[in-house]
Parts: sequence; structure tokens; C-alpha cells
Amino acid sequence: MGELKNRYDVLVIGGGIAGMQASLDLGEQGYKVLLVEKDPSIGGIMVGLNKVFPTLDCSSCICTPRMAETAHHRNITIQSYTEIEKVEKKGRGFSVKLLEKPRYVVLEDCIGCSLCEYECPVDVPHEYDYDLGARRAIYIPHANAIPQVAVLDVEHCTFCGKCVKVCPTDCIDYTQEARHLDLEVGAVVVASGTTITPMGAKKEYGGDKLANVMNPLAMERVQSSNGPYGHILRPSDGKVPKSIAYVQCAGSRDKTLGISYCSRVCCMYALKQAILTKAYGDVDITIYHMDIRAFGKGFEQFYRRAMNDGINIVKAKVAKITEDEEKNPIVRIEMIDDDGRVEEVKHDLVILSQGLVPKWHPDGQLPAEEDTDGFFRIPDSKIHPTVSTTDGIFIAGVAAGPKDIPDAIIEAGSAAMEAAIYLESGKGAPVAV
Amino acid sequence: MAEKETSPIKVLRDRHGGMSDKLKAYFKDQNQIRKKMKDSLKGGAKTVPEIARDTGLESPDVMWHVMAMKRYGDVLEAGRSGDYYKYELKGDS
Repeated sequence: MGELKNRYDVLVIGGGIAGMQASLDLGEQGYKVLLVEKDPSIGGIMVGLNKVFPTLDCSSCICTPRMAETAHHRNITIQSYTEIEKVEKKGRGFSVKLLEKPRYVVLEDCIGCSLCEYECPVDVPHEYDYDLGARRAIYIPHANAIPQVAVLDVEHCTFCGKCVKVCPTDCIDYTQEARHLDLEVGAVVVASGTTITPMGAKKEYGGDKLANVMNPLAMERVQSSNGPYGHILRPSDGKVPKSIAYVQCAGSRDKTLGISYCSRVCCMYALKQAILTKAYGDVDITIYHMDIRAFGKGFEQFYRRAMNDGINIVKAKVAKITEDEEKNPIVRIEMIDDDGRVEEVKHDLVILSQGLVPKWHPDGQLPAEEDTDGFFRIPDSKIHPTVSTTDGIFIAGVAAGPKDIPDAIIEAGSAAMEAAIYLESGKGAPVAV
Repeated sequence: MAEKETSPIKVLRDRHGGMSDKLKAYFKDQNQIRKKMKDSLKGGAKTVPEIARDTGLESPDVMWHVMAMKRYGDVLEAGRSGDYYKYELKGDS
């Protein structure tokens, strides 16, 4: 993954699929790239997804080779578990201040054996599984993590010292501290990605207090063979759900949340999850929607397949979700067809198709403007869809607005090309490392 | 390096002010819950609702701990009972 230098041609912010693609496209052209990722592993959201739509290919099977290729590329240095403190214009390039968080594990020495994780006595809700599963206070981030290196969550450490006793390479270093890093780059590609609207945002949908109302990324993990349960079960009691509902636009196209835009992927991921769950066996699945937006290649056929598979597609607005004494979600719907009839329907499990919002708001850490929706502003989105408001800063993937994986990859390639043109034009300052 | 060799865990503990009261309570709860669940499972394989009834613990809490115990090899799946999977203690747990 390379040793950290103090000068690079391009800084790529974010190690998800768009950041990796931009790094690879730049690295292949001979540019020296520093890829900074705030989490302990690269891979972003995609590596945790179960399948991709509409092909139903295994998501991690596509993403993991990309991660390995990025990690092993001669021109790419990965700086994981590191935050951006400040990026400032400096001459023809940028000065960059980073904060590397302590793993308490020597990155170069850890062999990812997990012996420390199995010995640790503290179980903690695992962020990677959206708290449905457990990790230990010291843990390998996930099975496909790159780097495959343990990290110690010191807030949950009991200081028992068991991990260091079992480590076969003596790589646990309790004395590590956060490290400030200063370097210079010629150009910046921002691929800071997305997250979903908070579960508690819609009080009428239970405000994150209903045990069997889940977010769609948690459902991705539940559906994954390496997920927290190993089966599709509901979180309150492990029941195999016989009736599942999806609530569309539960965080998009909703002015009450200040999110008036369509998130573009929710209809398709709901259809995908429904088709996959239905394939498991005897389960009724209903998708409550305002309208289904299936605009991409093969998406309409995917929608029709879902209907042919027996998924109930119901045009109705969900007004409220409550639960009964057995924690079964009760969904109050107003039919958009059928004269606006109001019904209450009991399900075993409900998934809120939450919208996409920006993951990172630079707030002065980076000289590029945000738009009114919180995503990065692209002044000339028709002709230069990846060029930010600042010379030398380019935006890739969902950092510029909601989009699916193929579109994020296309934009990453475009951002890489724009960065290369910028450097070659002499506006930026490509530096030999 | 000398600091690491002398007392690395003490360095870490001192820097972070030792275990917080919140973590002490969390860890104590975890151990008590696990003991109750293991005692319940000594009577044979059970579903999550059965463990919850047997121990008086909240069902969502039991679910989370069962999955944590399964992940780290303390319990195993042991077939199904209706709409629920059953779980049993691993031999050496």
C-alpha cells in the first residue's frame, strides 16, 4: 500500500467505489495518488451490500477485487483510518493536513489472524452490520477489509491486556497516538460518498424506536451470507418474517425533511431486496410507493420481474407506523388509487427506503462549495459534471448527488480525467514523489 | 519504545482515564446477561422467545446476544421450531 511521502500528484478523498476508481484511473496514467479513507478499511458502502441491481451479481465479489487492485497499485498509497483536517489552495497546488487515528496495532506487522478479536471479552454493536451484529473491542473491520488489520476501539477497552498476550506477531501497540500529517498535492478528487437519512428523522414512522422497522442498508447485511444472522430474521425475536413491507420515499421527495429530491436508487434497491427475499421461500412482500422510478438500463424489466415474482406493488402513501404488543409493525396507509381508502396492515418486518444524503460536509476543511441540497456544487453540470467551484478540485460519485454504482464509477473516471487534464495543463503542480 | 516495553497497558489506561463508569456498567450487564442465557441453554436448545421467557430478559436483547455468541462460537444453530431457529450451547461453552 506504499509508504507515506509528503508530495503527491492527486489526493483522493474517500475509499469507496468512486474513490477507488478515480485512484486507479489516475494511477494507471502514472500519477502518484494518495487515497485517504476515514474508516479502518476501504470499500465504502458497496463492499457491505449483498447484491447489485439489476443483474443480482454479488456486490462484494465486484468490489473486493477493486479494493485489492487499489491496495496493490504501484502508484497508489492508501492512508486509512485518517481524517481530513484541512485542504487549502497553495500556489498551483494544495496543502493538506491529515489526522491519522491510532489503531493501537502496527499496520505493517498485523497478519489479520483475529486471535486478538476472539480473545477480547467485550462485545460491541458492530457498525458494519448497522448494530444488528457484534464485534469485539479489538476487531478486524470485516471479512473483506483492506487493510486486513485489527483496530482497537479504546472506548470499549477494559485494558485487560489479553489481546497482546495472544498476538503471534507482537503487533499490538498500546502507546500509539494520533498523528498529524502535512503534505502537498497538485489536485484533489473528492469521493466522500453518501449516507442515508437518519432512522429517527420521520417521527411518524416510529422515530427509530420500533424494533422491527429497519433501514435498507441493515437489510443488505441481513440478506448477506456473511451478515449478522446468517438468515433473514427480524431483529426483535429472530422470527423468520412471513410478511415484509417496504416504505418508499421514506426520506426523499419529502419537504418536511428538507429533502425534496429523488434519491434515484431506492425503488431499485427495494425491488432487488424484495426479489431476493422472495427467492428464500414463503413470504409476502409489499412495496408501498408513490410511483416506481425504473429509469436505467434493464430497470423496467427488473420491475416487471418483481411483479411476476409476486411482489405486491401498492400505490399508497404510508402515514404512520406503530407496533402491536408482539412488536409487529402496523402500517397505516392511504391508497393513492382506490379512492384514497385508508387501511392498517400488520407486517412482521418493515424496511424504510430512506434517501441518500451527503456523508461529508467539509465545513471549511475544503475550499469547494456545497449546493442547496448539501451535495457539492457543480457549476457547469451539463458540460463538466465533475468540476467543483474551485480550480483543481473534482467531485466523483455520490458526493455530487444521488446516483447508482455504475454512474458513480463513470463519474469517477471523468473526475480522474479532469484532474489529469488539469495537471497536464500546468494549472496544477504535478510533483514527482 | 522504552515506555512500550515497561508498561504499555498502563500507558493506555492512564491516557484514557481507565475504564469509564459507563463501560464498567455495560461490561457487568453483558456478563450477567450471558450467564442467564447460558444457564437457560443448559436446559437444551431454545428459540430467542423461549430464552427471553426463561430468563426474563427483553427479546431484542436476547436476539442481539445470541447472535454475538453465535459469531464468536459460544452457541450453535440447532434446527428450527416453527418460524424460529433454535440455538444451543457449544460443547465447551
